[in-house]
Amino acid sequence: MVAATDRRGPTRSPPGSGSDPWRRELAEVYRSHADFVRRSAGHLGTPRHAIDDVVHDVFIIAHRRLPDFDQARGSVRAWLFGITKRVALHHRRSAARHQRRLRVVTPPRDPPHPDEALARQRVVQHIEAFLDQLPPAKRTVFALADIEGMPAVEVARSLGINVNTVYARLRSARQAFAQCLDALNARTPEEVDDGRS
Amino acid sequence: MDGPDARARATLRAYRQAKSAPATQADALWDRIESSLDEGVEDPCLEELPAAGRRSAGVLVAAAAVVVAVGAVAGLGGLRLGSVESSAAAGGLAPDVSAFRAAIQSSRSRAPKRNPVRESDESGPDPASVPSPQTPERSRSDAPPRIPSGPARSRRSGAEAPRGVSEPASDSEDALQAEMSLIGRARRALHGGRADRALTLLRAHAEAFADGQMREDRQALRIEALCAVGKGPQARAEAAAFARRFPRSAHAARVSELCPRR
Repeated sequence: MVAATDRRGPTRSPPGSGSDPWRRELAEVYRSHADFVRRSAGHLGTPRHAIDDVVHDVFIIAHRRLPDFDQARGSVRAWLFGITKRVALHHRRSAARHQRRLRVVTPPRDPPHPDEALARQRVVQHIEAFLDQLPPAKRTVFALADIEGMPAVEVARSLGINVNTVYARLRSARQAFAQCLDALNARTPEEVDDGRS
Repeated sequence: MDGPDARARATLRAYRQAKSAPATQADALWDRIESSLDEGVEDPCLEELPAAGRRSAGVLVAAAAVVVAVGAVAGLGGLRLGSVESSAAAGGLAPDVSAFRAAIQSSRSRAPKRNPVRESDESGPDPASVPSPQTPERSRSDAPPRIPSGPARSRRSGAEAPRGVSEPASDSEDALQAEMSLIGRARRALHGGRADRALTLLRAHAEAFADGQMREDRQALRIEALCAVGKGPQARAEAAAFARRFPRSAHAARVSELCPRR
């Protein structure tokens, strides 16, 4: 066993020297959950251009807190989600301060895509529009439960709410999502493209 | 409570796949994370504060960590936000790597089934059900090979997947893995236009593994990096020394052609 203070002692080990037993563990966590963290950052309102930064910061913090992780209190994903919430909030506040000093530039239009990629993009845009119009509380529950596949009990623990509240929000969000899917299937590709301009 | 219907599940699965980062982006981000760890970045959200603010904020974070830890006991979440201060106050928590590995194994066994290349979910999650803890563990061959690695990283199957956490590692295997990691990162840094960064990583390798198994790789890469930063005479001098020291090296021919005199 390595004492916590050994890892954070004043004598820093050479970079990547292999003496950090947590680096490999972090690699495993990254491999298994980086996409979950990335999507969670998006669901928590992180601007697209900052998502990589949020993911980076989450895993830096995770590395520092690995020794304190307690499996009895929840899953690795729930633990990472908690860190992601804090980091995403930090970035949103930074972005808000930054935006007040910047002129907002209109992003360029996406170049034309092959049909398959275009169809996939339609789905993504439609779902993102659906998520954007959901109240944040419902959006987070829906994202964790139905997009990320977290059990309701785990969602409740991650968000610090009652599991019945999770079910109620989820039921409402799913009804809205079903209507969203009806709308998606009803629209033609031309109607969708017109909606993008 | 019933889960989402099949149409919703399929659509959300496609969305989840589309929102996953491409392998190259994931690899590049992992490189960036490792670089930050090497440079000693611990809490990026705190790093933006000036030094005095960081010190006082550090005290506040430690205090907040204790408060949150108490809150965690009340069942707020799966977090126990320890800190050096709170850990010391608790009598010095000894981090148990093996316990954390078990937690990762457990989370992987409960995660939706994924193919080896991408985090795609063929079966789709069923959020209405509690995943069974009895789900069989994935074999190592199922491991998504997305952790960045150089050509020399894996010596076994050729897959890029790092060692599975369930496999016991000998000291020499640990050392070689560490060497491969450093050399691979230095190579990527050099080929990514960051020769200075490559030299830093190679210096670290030389300090930690002076006579390591990859010392020839280190030296060859160092010569290439010296040339890239404009230190041609030094690169050529070290290339000549390399040829004398390692005349039968697999790198000998390449090293002799690096950094020709203009």
